[in-house]
Amino acid sequence: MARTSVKATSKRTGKSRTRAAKPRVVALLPAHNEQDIIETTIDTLMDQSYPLEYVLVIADNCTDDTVKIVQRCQKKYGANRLKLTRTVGNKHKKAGALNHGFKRLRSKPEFIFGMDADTILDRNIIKAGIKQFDREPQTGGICSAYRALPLKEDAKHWERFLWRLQNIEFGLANAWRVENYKSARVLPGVSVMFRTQALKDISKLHRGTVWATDSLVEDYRLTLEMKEVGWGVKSSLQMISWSDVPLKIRGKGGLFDQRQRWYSGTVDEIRRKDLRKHTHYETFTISLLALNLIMRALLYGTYGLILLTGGIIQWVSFFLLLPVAAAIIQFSRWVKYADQRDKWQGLMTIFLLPNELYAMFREMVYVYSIWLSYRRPDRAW
Amino acid sequence: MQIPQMSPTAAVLRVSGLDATLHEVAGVNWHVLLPYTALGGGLMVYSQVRLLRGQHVLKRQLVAQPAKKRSRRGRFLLFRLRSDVGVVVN
Repeated sequence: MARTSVKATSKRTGKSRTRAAKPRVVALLPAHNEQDIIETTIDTLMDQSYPLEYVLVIADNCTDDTVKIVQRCQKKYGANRLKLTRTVGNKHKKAGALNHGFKRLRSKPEFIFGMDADTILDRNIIKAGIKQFDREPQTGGICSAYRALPLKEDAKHWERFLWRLQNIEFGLANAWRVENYKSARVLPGVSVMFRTQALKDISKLHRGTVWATDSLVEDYRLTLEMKEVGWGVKSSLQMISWSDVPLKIRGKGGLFDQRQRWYSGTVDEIRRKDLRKHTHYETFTISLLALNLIMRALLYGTYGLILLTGGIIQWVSFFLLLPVAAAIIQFSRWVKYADQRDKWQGLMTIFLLPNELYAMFREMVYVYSIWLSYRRPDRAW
Repeated sequence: MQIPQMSPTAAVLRVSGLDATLHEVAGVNWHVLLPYTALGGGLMVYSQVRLLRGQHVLKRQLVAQPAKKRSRRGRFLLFRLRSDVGVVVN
């Protein structure tokens, strides 16, 4: 039970009694040069239907106006509700910033909410998390359902196309979370709520720090370690957040860069011997993806060959029932679990091909990431 | 941040159906393709069953439990707890 007990005395009977008090929640908000969005993020935290004890912004090596904006927000909300701390010489990116914030928690909240600074929260996200923790005393961490932040109106066609692909991907990933309702594969750091005791248990594994500083995917490592110390990890479709997505493929911060970091980091973790018993499913997943990639290459290669040699693809086939069924399933999942739907996304989903090409892109990045993990073990962000 | 990959079952099931057309269009022996097609079809059904089960369980968790019929003593205890000091009992 998440509630703490508060002793008080009954006026009528004079006997002491025990009253249920609301559990306290503190939000950790690491921010690295987030001047464009930090104020909106803080507003969504302060506007929660379940009030937070306070929000701790961790300004991580900021060189823009992030700190000034936070200080302005402190005047608006009060320095007791919105606290600010700065990292000094942090070389461990987000993990280092989160560890810095965790060490500076003065009160002892029952729950800690961690999130990315470029994320917008639903008003009831904390409330939904508390309810689920209340129902599930063995759960140590719950991640939210993720959605893509709305596009800017001046976005180019290519950016819109990339955004739509990722929005569909997020929607289908939410359906996947329902399939795996018993346990989350990963607690993405974009917006996640922890039981403080679970984080304390993890901190015993590595000298007081919680988030591993030697991992490219500190959130995946944390998930594995949470399982290792005996806590459950879950996802919740009642907890909703919107996050920024890359709108270019190449370059720093592009889709390729982001995915190869996630995937190669995941492969790094899978290769670790001490947590291997929690990564069997991921290994199975990668094997299936490799099988998929081979079959796709075979399929498209054959189709290309037929077309080049003047052949005709005969689409009438008993076997076509399967892709039709698959398209219907994918479309129904997209309708139920994706938001900000439009007709283009609907067409992309029902005709499979754009999503197939995007899935193929991800699989190729995965293969490259496996190579990276083995050949360049000393990679950094 | 790391979002989960799309369900491997969902990924396989789409392609397996398309791969099966290789038999029709390219004359690839169906003996070669059938195991993968069957795997995809099987996974498609498995994936949908898991989704429906997940939906059912999550819905059940969210819907408030109907009030149980309480015994006379149970009702009395509950009344006493509530009327004593107005404490919310969970």
